[in-house]
Amino acid sequence: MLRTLAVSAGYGLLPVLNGIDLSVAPGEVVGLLGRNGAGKTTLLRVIAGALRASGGAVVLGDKDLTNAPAFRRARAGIAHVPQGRGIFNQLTVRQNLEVGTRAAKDRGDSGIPADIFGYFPILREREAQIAGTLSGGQQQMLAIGRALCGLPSVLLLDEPSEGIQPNIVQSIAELVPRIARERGIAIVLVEQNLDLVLKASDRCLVMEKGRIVHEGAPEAFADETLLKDLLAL
Amino acid sequence: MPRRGCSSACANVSPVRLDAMDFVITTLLNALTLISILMLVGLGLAISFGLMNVTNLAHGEFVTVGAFAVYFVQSMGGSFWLGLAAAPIAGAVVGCILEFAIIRHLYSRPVSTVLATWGVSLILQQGLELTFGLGAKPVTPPIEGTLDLVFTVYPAYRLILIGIAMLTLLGVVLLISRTSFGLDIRTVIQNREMAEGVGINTRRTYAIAFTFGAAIAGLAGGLVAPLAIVLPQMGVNYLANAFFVVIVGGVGSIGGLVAGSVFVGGLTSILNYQISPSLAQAIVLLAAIVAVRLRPNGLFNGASR
Ligand SMILES: Nc1ncnc2c1ncn2[C@@H]1O[C@H](COP(=O)(O)OP(=O)(O)OP(=O)(O)O)[C@@H](O)[C@H]1O
Ligand SMILES: [Mg+2]
Repeated sequence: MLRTLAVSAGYGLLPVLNGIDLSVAPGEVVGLLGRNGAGKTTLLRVIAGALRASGGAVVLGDKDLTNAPAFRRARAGIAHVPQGRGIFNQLTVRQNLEVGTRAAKDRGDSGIPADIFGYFPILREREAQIAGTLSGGQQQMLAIGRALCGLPSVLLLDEPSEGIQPNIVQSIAELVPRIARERGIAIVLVEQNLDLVLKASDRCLVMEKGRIVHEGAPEAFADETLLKDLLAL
Repeated sequence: MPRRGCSSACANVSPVRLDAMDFVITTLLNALTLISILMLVGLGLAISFGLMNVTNLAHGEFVTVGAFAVYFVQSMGGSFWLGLAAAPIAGAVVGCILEFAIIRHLYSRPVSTVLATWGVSLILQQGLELTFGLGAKPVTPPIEGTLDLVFTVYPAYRLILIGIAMLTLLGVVLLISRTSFGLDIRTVIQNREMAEGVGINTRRTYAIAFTFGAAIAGLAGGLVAPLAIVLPQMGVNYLANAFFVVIVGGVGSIGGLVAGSVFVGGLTSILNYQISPSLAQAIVLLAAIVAVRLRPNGLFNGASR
């Protein structure tokens, strides 16, 4: 169970998050919507430890990780697939996956889990290829695959559909809930692509100016006027 | 052995048979000696200056400490080889303390790092002078004499030096390309934030890499000790030349390190035949500036890290 308690954060003097309470259960996919600049990426970075919270707490299970550096959080089980994917471009696909296992070091790392290739068969085919030469969609699959190599209990996905062909977006929409169920991972899915979030999520949150302003089941968001109102689409 | 004064790593050996082939091969081997030393000294600087953005003005002192380690061991009756084994350890100890006490606290303050490491460099020089006294320290090579290479004869120890340097470099390449720690280093170099995000302790990785670079510089100091004038101030020349190497070669690849060393070492040792060493140094600096203008990312850009 991942929880944030009244988390606030910002860049320098600019406050971006104002008291975010979030909790995600194992096996659950929570979709996070919001306009550009609402603070979605910032929230994921604060949970992952790439940015320090200025107030509040980040808790995983019974561990308070608020003051832990990012690598400790990764080892505690929080995997972050950032906006832009964060692939190590000059390493091979296999090396990227191998580096992903570092997070599982303290929890009985036993190499690259074979079932990763069940989700993403392309990664096995391209094992020896330099990651920077993969297409955007393949890089996204690699980024998710690499995150899973750390045997995480929490997976933070920041706009996985950004700059990717529609058919791959489609398969990510199917894979995200499957990964959550099969591996008991709590997933936070930040997305601009409404089809994808509504299809993949169990629950959706809407952020505005650093606060969560609305919460509901994906079905409730099918109402166009509500969406227009919340997201100014 | 006739020697010329030389402000850089070590003096040239003059050809003995005085025909064209002799001249070419002797010059080549002289250059190779200097290139070898520069590669080893430059490696640590490529790590700290090139990859961690730390301007460490005390890097030359790792070389000095390595040379003094050999001197110290020999003065206690130990062999050269024992001293050579102590040299990288001495470099590593000093490097590790420097990283732990100063550099890690100043990553975000480059100017403070320059000043602090400059201070450390002076303190180390003074400390060595107080401990070991004034004057050059004698270091004897493990083997005297020359080897007949058909076209020329060349001091045997210098050939050993070149061999050890090449083997060390090969070891470093294997370490970086084949081991799991090498993979961690490459990951941290490419994207520090993401490396941290996949669970790598990047602070620790930096510290180990820095210490490792100091150890290799210490080894270089030990290797060069029988050829150079061992003084507490000897590190300064290596520092300057190693900066040329890293800036000219570009950072992030062993290929760049080799290219930069060949450029700086080759040019220096060829020019040293023709003109005075300080003029040679100035010309190398000028050539380095031109090279950086023409290839801002280094002579060896575009290669894999
Ligand atoms: N590194 C940074 N330094 C300063 N301000 C930043 C930085 N990153 C983001 N911001 C600001 O913080 C606010 C929130 O940005 P954030 O990236 O979290 O939004 P987002 O919801 O992810 O937007 P998008 O949908 O465009 O990805 C924005 O106003 C942005 O300008
Ligand atoms: Mg964003």
